[in-house]
Amino acid sequence: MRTAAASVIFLVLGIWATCAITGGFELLTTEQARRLDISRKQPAVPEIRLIDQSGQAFHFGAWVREENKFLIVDFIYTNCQSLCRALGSEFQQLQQRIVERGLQSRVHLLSVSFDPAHDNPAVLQQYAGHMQAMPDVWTFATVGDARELDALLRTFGVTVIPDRMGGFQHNAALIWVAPSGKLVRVTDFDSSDSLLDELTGSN
Amino acid sequence: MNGTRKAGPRAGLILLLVLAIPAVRSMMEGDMALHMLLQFPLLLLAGWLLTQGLTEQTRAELRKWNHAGIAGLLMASLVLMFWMIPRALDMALSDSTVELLKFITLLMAGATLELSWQSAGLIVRGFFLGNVLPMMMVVGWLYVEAPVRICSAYLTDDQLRAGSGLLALAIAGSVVWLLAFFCPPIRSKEIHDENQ
Amino acid sequence: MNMQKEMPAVGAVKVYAAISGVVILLMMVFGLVMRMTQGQMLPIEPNVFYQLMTAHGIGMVAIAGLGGSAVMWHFLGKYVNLRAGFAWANLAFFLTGVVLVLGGIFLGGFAAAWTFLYPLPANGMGQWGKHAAAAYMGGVLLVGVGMLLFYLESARAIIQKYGSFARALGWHFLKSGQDAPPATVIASTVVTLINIIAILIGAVILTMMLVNLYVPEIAIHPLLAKNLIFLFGHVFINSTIYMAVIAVYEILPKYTGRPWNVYKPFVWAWSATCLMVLTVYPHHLLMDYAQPLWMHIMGQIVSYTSSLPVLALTLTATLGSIYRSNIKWDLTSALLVLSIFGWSAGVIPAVIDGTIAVNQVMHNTLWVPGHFHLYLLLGCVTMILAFTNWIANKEKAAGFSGLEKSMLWVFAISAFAYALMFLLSGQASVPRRWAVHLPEWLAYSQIASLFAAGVVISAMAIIVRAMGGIIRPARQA
Ligand code: HEM
Ligand SMILES: [Cu+2]
Repeated sequence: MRTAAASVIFLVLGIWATCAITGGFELLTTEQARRLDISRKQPAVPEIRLIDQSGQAFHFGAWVREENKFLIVDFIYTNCQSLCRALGSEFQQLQQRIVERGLQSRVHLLSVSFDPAHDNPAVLQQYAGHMQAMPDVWTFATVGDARELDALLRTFGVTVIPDRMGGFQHNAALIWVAPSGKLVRVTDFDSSDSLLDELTGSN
Repeated sequence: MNGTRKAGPRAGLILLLVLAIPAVRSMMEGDMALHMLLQFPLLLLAGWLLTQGLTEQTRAELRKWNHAGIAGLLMASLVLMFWMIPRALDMALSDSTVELLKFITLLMAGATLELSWQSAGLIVRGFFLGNVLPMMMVVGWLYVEAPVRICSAYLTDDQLRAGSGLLALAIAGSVVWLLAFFCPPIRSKEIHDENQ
Repeated sequence: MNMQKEMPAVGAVKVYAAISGVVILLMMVFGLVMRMTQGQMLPIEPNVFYQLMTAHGIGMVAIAGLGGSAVMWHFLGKYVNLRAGFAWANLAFFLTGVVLVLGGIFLGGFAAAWTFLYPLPANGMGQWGKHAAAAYMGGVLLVGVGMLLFYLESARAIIQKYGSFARALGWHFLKSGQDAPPATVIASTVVTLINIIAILIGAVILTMMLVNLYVPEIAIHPLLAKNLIFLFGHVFINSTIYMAVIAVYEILPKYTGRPWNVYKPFVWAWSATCLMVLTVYPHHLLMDYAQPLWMHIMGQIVSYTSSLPVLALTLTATLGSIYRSNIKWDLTSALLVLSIFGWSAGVIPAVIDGTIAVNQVMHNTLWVPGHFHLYLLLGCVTMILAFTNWIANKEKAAGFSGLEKSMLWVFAISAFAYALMFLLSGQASVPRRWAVHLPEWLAYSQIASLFAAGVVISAMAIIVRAMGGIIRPARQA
């Protein structure tokens, strides 16, 4: 009898803990949790100083509101041989799509490097050229102050860990920022086309 | 008898203290395979050893709550399952409260294993293993197969190694368990007890 | 305490037998409806057809498992000390699982066939949602949990009495020639071992697919998933017949007056079957993902022939024990002898199927259901019917009325002809799992429906009669 009571207590505790960590049995991984969290809480873009490829500094949040455009953000480092390439070609396609449909005034692309030690404006400029990025559609930037990087990554739900070969491993996602400066959605890098329709097509 | 009574908890305490040293912790937790396949079992072991210090009186009291080891093994399997959830593993790294909880629950799981294993018969043990082993296989398989990183805090190589390790451990465990059916240790008294 | 062992079937076994009888009948009706739909004799929509097919497949496999367990539990309990609580616990899990499975199929519309091959369950295409698939797979998982308990109890009891599985399998007898364990114990041990493994593997793949259902980013390797599902399915379905055949070992001697002695070849045969299941299946599974053809074929042949040693020995021993004995014929003994012939006949198309050339041609035709219906219907189900009838007659030989005789013949002939129609359709390249058949195939389906009706009617007569025998004494007591 007492054994049954103890078992039930353990079972309830176990289910409760599992439920808590999986957000009500909806998610298993941190990445999923992060995405759900962002689309629910819609945090604002932090007021952090960024430097773009031409060496110009700007305040992230203020800049978004000024531009009054949808912003699609990804996080990269220029030495990356794998994921960032995939992200890059995704952005290239998006850029083409934006130009084709004349959406330059409504959507903007931003790639932020999390490797400020290496990716200074000159490197970014070169990388942008390599990617055939059009400056009025696609901006490259990095943080002005490396200490602010953590806060930025945390808001955008990006984890970056140094691998053992001088590079980084990081999660790849496209983060959508509304003109109001709020993060609204996180998507994988092959589902952005329909979202482009959804966000811009309606008006 | 008295010797092991004392040696056990002492070794357990030392093991626990070593595992709690920040440098050891970050070394083990920095690598997913070490984290799951070394730190977890060592914590269980520490819990097991510490429990050997309990007096017969406490044990008797606890046994009332733990008939045939059912409650204890249930709790141990829940704890093990919980810490195999990728998000839980991540949080143990990013949140020190969660990490503390991880230490405590795994120690407790080790303790309940020690308290329950002897009194659990073939069936309760089988049910425990029938839960935990497939779960380890599932998680191991997930880590091996997943095209993306499941744990944000670890590299994909790590994930692959941890996954293969879990799979290997689970398969080895199943083989040993089933072989035991063919040559069970002589413990007629125990089998007899179970029938009452 | 000891008296109980000689008493006729106790409560749980009766309930098992009764449920098995009713469900077998219901599932046969589903089968008849499907075959008539294929013959365009019934206006059933394809989506309903696939729901019926899913229910029929999983229902028959599960109930063959339950019926087989009844046989095993009943007779194994005469040698070792089984605790009834476990039989009831198994039943509780079973029924809960069945409710979930049926809910998933008929309320949720899940219709991915009983083998729930990945990634079908996750791709309902609007026919079913992920919760329906989850209910189905969760239900199957629960049935597995119950069966695991059941087999753990039998493992415990066997080890308690015989010391170890090695002794229960009779390995010491091979060396010393002394102390052979009873045939029932040998068979039960083999089933216990292979089914514990099968259930664990089933649990892995089901949990995996449940995870995938809710976290689609985590893809599963489809070929590996398929191998695991087949491993679980094949081992489980084969073991139903290994459980049911215990009825032959235990009941037939009562009719012939000759005990079912265990000889060395018999021990060898069971161990060989067990070994084949345990080594070859996992081997063929752990091999690289990209399976070469020869391995695929090897796997098929072995999976179909792994029962050959046991079958051959059982067949010869049966013939030997009937030959020139004054066997007393009644419905039970006739069904038992029929079942051995049905099982043997079922192996022939299986072996043909396993051979290379044919495998290529017949693989996805009605040939496949043809071979398994032959040995499941005429082998496994017939054994279960014999057992049901036996306990209905309070475990005694009974008279053999004219009605019973004619029902037996109708059953035997129509079941055989029904399976034959599947095989013939297969030879004519009629694909399996098609709800709508082309005009040139209609004749096959219509003739088959006729025989199916014969099976349903005769089985109904046998089951209803037995049911009366099982329920009545319980009321009086
Ligand atoms: C009167 C008896 C029966 C009838 C009329 C019947 C009829 C059918 C039919 C029409 C199919 C679908 C064939 C196709 O087009 O692929 C089928 C499939 C099947 N049957 Fe039966 N059956 C009977 C008895 C049994 C028995 C006794 C068992 C097992 C113990 C069984 C197990 C199965 C299984 C496992 C499938 C495969 C389902 C699938 O492909 O997912 N059947 N049956
Ligand atoms: Cu990268």
